[in-house]
Amino acid sequence: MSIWGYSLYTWKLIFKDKGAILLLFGAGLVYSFFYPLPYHFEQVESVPTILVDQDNSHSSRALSRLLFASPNLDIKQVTDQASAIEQQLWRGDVMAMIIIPSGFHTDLLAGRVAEVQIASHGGYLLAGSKALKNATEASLMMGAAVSLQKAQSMGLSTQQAMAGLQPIRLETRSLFNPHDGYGHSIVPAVMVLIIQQTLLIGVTLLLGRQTELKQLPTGSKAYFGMLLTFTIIALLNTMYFFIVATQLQHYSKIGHFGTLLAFSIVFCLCISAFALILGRLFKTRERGLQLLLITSVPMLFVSGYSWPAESLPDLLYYARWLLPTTSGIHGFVSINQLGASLIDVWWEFGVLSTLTLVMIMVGIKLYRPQRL
Amino acid sequence: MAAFALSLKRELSHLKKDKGDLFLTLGMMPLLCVFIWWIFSAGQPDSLPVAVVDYDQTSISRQFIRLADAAPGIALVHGSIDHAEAIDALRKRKVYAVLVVPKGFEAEVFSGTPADLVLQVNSQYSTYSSTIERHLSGAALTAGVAIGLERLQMQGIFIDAGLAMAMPISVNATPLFNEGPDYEVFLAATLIPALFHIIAMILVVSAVGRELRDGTAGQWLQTAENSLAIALSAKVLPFFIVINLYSALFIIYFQQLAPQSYSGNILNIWLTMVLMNSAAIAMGLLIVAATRNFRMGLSLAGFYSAPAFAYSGQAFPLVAMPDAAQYWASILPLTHWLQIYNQLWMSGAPMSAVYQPLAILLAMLVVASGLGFWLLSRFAFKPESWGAR
Repeated sequence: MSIWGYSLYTWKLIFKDKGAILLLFGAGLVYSFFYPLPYHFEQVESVPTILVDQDNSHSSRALSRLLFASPNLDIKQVTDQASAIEQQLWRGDVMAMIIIPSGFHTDLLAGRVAEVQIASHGGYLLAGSKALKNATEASLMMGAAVSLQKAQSMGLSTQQAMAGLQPIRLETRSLFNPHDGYGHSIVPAVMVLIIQQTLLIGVTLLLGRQTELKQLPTGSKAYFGMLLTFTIIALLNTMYFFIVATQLQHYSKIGHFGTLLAFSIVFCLCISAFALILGRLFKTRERGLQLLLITSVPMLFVSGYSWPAESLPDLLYYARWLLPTTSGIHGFVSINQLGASLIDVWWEFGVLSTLTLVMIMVGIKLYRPQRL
Repeated sequence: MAAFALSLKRELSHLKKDKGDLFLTLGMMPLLCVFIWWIFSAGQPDSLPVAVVDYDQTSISRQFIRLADAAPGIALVHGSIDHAEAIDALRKRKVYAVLVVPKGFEAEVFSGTPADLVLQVNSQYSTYSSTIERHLSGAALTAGVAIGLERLQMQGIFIDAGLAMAMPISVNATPLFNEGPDYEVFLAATLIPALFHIIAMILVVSAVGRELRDGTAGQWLQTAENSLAIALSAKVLPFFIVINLYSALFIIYFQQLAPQSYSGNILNIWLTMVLMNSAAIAMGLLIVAATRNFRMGLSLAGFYSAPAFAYSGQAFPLVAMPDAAQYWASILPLTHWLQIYNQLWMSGAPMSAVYQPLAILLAMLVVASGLGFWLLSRFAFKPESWGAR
């Protein structure tokens, strides 16, 4: 049989295998809706917060009003009992807490620095940092108003007084993910992982069955025939995810199609060659499912995307490139969301090409007929 | 008792023969747990590269840049680059933010008009951008107060009064139980239980699924003298012991790793984790009993458990999710256990405070194992249910 013949034969095997169809075509489709669902609103709009006002004064109530008006704070309870915090935390009802200590008003009047305590539950980092930011802004805003009044009361002109307030402002502009969406940041990386994992599991399922039946095709023609079929399947999934699914989720997509296609081809070749190696090593149909399902989470975090690569241990910083997902995640995100050209992702492209070559050489060796 | 011993022996001799299943039972979890811990062992994002474009080139601008450079989480990339080059570096991911000091910065500071700094961040890489923004806004605030103070002093105001005037309200902001914020506690310690949640399901689906696949289910039941209860408990016992032992090691290790973050009683934490593992095993049992197909059971267990962390509300809070996602989250044992993790282990709440998630986990365990048991006894021991791939 020629390479084309083997490729066709592989297609036939797939379409006779419900399990393989489900994983190679169905799983990606389902996951493309299922995975982004929790992040549908993209933002943490309201963080449940408890406000402890121990001062109960004109000033503390002014600050409370500002806190109530903060866009992302959802003040669940206002109390003067600090012990209420513990109860609320224990019940898991609040994620952040703000304490205005007694003496707040008198400190302000006396010209001392008045302190506000803000804390968040460290287990919920995202919600906590949002609450800290909002509560800090509200307190600083009140602080600015107090400063202004105080300076004016000391006889300074408005202009002089303004100069004493925040003379430096930092204006942050978000590029590439304009609304700072959580899903917009994480899901495009997870898509790469889904494409790879469904292919690896689908292929090991299909080939594991052939190994059990002692019908696994061997020889380099068979190898390249299978590689061709699996690469086309991976490419179909990749195009679906980065053109259709990305559009459906309203994620930005500013890359050129040519760049995306070129990078996709080398990525899909690479994961197909990877799948063929595992397909030869796993001797039963279910082995891939058993071993690979659980590896997705570590693969995502070792890539250096959502957890900064600069903070990985040195060995992992380099070793992470041995996984196609690492180059895939950085490459696809750069092309689709940052608008990178092929030159901008030359490193990822080069790593994937090298990995592909090595894996094909290993694959040809593994699929030599005499080894069966 | 003899039936139980024989059944257990049958399980162990299978593990001895099947190296893949043995690795899955014994080797996989320690490997992945150490790997996850290792990834996050630095604890905090560090030395994130930021490009500086200083159009002002004055002593004030240089002073600010030095102050910013001292922030621990970021590493400023100096060198004379213009803005276009910096944005290019941003796109190439050589830097993750560009700090622009506009021309006239010093002049504005001296003239008393608010001077603006511009920070452009790659917010697609959101951990980078939020960390950088946090450090640089801290630096801007500090520099601002220092300058404001100096200015008020020049106008003849004493330093104490000046400080109260420049910053009348000071904000003391700390994350509780996790000062830092430390990602070892935030991510590693919650991702590892998510892996236990997955492996518990894979193990039970594998152990029961292979009997159905190989058509040995009848033999399995016979060994247990036709008692499904004995057959199942002997089947589950080996990996039940293994994963709960590993869970204990995980809890003890993280407790001593970050003692300042955890205030709960670790024995209680472990007991609740045993309950989560059991609920996950029960869910896996239900899945394999309902499908009676090893491959389909694994696929479904994977679909159910692999994205569980995303749904659990730990990284992205439940309150911010659409209703459909919250419903899905509520049928995952992990969601309820992470609630216990936050309340019992981190906040140090008494057991009575977490009765609700405990009751839910217990209900999951009882309902899923009961239903799974019934489905197995009713359908799994007929030869026509065997051999499905």
